[in-house]
Amino acid sequence: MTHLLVQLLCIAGFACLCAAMARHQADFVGRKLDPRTGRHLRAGGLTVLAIALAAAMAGLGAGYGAVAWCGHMTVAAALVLFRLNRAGARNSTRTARRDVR
Amino acid sequence: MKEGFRQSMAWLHTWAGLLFGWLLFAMFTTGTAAYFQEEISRWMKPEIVATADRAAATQAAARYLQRTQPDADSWFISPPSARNPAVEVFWQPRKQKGEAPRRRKRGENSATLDGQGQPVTARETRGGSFLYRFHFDLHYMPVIWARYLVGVAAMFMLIAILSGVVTHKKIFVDFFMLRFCKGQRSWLDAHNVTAVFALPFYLMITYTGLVTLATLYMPWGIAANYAKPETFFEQAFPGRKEVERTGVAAPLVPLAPLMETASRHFGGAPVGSVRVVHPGDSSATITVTRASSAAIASRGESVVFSGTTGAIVDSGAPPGGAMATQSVMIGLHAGRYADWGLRWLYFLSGLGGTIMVGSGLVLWTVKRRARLSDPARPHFGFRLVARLNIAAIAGLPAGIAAYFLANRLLPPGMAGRADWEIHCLFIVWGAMLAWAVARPERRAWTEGLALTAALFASVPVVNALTVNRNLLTGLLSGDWLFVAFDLAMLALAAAFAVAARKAARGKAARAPRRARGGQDGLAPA
Repeated sequence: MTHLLVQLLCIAGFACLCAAMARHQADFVGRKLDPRTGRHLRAGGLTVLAIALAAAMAGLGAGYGAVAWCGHMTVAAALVLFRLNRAGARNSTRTARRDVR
Repeated sequence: MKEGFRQSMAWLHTWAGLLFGWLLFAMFTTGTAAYFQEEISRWMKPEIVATADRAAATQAAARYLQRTQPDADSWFISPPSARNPAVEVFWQPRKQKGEAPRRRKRGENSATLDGQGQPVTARETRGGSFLYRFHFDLHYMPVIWARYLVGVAAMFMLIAILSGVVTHKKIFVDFFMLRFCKGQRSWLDAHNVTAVFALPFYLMITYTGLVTLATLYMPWGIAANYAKPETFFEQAFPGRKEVERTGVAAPLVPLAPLMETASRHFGGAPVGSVRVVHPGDSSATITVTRASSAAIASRGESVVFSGTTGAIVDSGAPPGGAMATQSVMIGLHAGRYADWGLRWLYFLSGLGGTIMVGSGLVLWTVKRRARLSDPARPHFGFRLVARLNIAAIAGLPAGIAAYFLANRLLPPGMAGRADWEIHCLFIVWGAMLAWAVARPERRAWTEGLALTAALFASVPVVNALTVNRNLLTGLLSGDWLFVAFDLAMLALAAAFAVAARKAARGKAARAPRRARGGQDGLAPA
């Protein structure tokens, strides 16, 4: 159960970090965000990742939790990336269709 | 120095990665599979279904050994665990005077027992433990050479990782930049992303891998302080000390109470193994070791009991800082402590490492193909790397699939059956190398990957035809091991099928790109 919670927190954290980056906002959020929101998202993302570490260490033991947290971050980052990739591919086909019209 | 630091690191990364790339690919593949070695072994011995109480099964195993091997020098009993329902026993026959040491045949001094101490008749196989041993012992060569070779490869891996971090300058800015289906750029991205996402894992796994064999690679610390290396090991690990037989017969105390005492000593952690030295002699000792699943540190604590009175002889001094560090590092590497969640994370990270090494090898050829003076007739070095890539990346997985198939198809009573399963792996791997050399490169990729996909896809089919445990019966009766194994085989088959399709399409897509001349987005080689 702790594994699931930590995984969800890590996904949320990386989603925030990704949304905070100006170059990915068009694909990931659908529009440009103003720089202040971006900074908040970055701080929020890092905080959520820290909470995930705390949750893992509390639920699984300090050493074990820290190792599991590293593994969950790897998977979460990969999942966010796949989501971004699909969004990017959809957007570029849409743009291409609009260009043709 | 004319070149900058980053260029020189890029050069180092390219060549350090290439030189041992194929061996590292094999180490990553088999090491990743070895995270499920117990499960693979259980799949490869479908006859074993027994589950039993730990203490009772250990006592029953001791009775079996008492009956069959009363004169042995030592017994080793590994009680049933959550991951292995059977009891494994090994024994060391007493050395006769003047007898030369010889290699014993498999099964000559080991047995698999059920909970009642009866030998289980299962097909002869080395199971998942072969993949585990190959990871650092390789095969068809002396173990000591293999371990040095593997150690050198791991050093190169460490160099490739560190120089790679320097080369890939924009780790955080480009963190989410992987894009698919863009020719060279996407190979580079696949390499970067698998490398960056699990970077802590690769650093950990490479460094701790070297630490597991540290006393082999760096024996001088022990050599400088001890006249004989054995003295060091005797002092470092309880229960290792050689004791003379007294020749006075004395019955062995029951094991179950000792296991209970030891378990209390380990803070409630279960017992992982029981070793009896000189059973039946008044000098007998019993060493009970903690299960490796109970803590990250792999050097499980041990308690040594007297075999005749059951009194504690040596409860093991708490390990010093260096020893504790090494123990945790080895534990982190082998991951025996991991529960299901963490075990899958280990597996996925290992899979990432396999893809990282594989994509790095392919990248070497992709980058150079554009610069070939005559693309129709590439120079020898290019052809060598290209063909070895196919043989490694498609060949080894095909070999592993063949290993599983051989386990189901070879006749049960065949002489040297376990060895022939392994030969099948290498025959298929070797055949793939020959195929890669004989066929045009692009065709060889497509056909090799397609064959691997077909082999993996046929594993569940052959399993269903030869054994009465499979995906369907597993779903109905809750035999999740067989469900998971079949699904994993199908997932691997699907992944290789997708790769084969991409390789086939790449042939059509490559022509216009080459016509365009330059390559976009060149990163350091």
